[in-house]
Amino acid sequence: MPNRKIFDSEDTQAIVNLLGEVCAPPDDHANKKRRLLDGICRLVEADAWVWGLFVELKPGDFPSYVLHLHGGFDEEQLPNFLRALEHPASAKFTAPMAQLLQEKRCHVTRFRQQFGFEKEFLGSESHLLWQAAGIEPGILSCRPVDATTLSTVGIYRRPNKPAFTPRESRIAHILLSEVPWLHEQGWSADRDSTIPSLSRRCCTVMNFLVHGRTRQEIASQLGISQHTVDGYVKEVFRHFRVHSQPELIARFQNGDGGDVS
Amino acid sequence: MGIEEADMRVIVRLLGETASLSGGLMNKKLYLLDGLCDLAGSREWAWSLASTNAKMESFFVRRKIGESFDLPMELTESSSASSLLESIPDRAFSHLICCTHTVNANTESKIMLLRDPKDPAYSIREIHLASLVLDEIPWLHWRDWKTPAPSLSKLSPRLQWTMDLLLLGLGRKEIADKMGISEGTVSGYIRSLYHQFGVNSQAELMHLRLQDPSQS
Repeated sequence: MPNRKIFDSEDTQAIVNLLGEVCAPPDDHANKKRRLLDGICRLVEADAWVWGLFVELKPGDFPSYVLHLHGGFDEEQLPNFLRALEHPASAKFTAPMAQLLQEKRCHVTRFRQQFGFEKEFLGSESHLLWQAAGIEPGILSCRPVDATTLSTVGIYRRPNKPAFTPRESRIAHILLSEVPWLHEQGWSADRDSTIPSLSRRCCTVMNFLVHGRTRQEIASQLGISQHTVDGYVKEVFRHFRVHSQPELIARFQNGDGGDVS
Repeated sequence: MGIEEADMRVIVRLLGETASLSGGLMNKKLYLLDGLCDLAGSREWAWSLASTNAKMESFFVRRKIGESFDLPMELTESSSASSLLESIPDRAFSHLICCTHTVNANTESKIMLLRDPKDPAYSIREIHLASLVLDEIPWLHWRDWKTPAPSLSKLSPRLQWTMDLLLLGLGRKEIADKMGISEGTVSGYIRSLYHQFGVNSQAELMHLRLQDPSQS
């Protein structure tokens, strides 16, 4: 029996309470997800979370992703977070998770300290970018949803807070792995599984666009000219066959083209 | 007392499914209590709302899971379901898990999970799992999301007793036998109840009790 770990009554009550609250009011899919992820953060004393769909990671590759929902970030921190993800130095630290997923092919949850690259990470450029985003990598939970797509939840604490414990990681894992709709874009199977195979910069620009940033903001966040941003935006629009930012956002909010019933 | 990870997972899954349901509170309540019955190896569940200052006012919903079986001894021998409910202490009997919840100053909700007397008694683990959910999810004891206070109708003791038995799905003749009165008298009570609730059949009456007020 591998699963004989015992949850104490305080934890079990808190988990049942949280799920009861999530059940309670009538709400749409995204809000329920938000409520549950906010709640998980409360349970494990985390400060921020993100949920996104990733093209299956290959160790060392830049992750291609769509960040769908997030909580606990302010206006400044989210762009910095996207930049931290984009940075080449970060790929090294997602590689062990990618490797693990390739071996296990199932829902995997780990906290950073389990990977044993702590010293290297703290001295890296990547760490500085994370700090600029106001968070440190904490718990990462990945679930393969089809042959090429990973649903990924990241749970973070502010810098200088203690590391997550195995208990906290376990609580997050159980909630994230036993609630399948957390990993879908809608209640039905209307998830859009096509994550673009875009270049690194285009992917970052796309995620800025999906989160409602203007071209001007993107340019200043990435430290590039607005003209260059225009080029990326054009490429992103062409890729998704859309003609405007709202159209692009709608596409991601509504899964495969608007069937939200 | 803690619970094992495998059990925690089952509960999280059930609650996660419940959260994903459309429809109102009653829909979710039915789903969750049915699921809890499965989890605890119960055959049926019952829910009652009783006013503490007027003893005979009560509200009673019950649902059978799978095949039917005779009512447990305690229920069949009682003079009335509502008075019986008041006498059942929490988690008392070997084949009964009961959870009482104070809804407001003068209303108490009870949820019971009943097991066939022919089956083995509940284990500590089953009692523990079921009461975890029954204790920690307050809306299981509510009538709707906004107003946990129920609107109880004032019924005479006899009418209430008839009502309880009707909601248990019993027929006219069975009700007459249980109450020790003639079928004609029962018919009179039933007519009066149908009139009071504005329905034309027992099915409608039972459905009415299961309906979500926010949907009607």
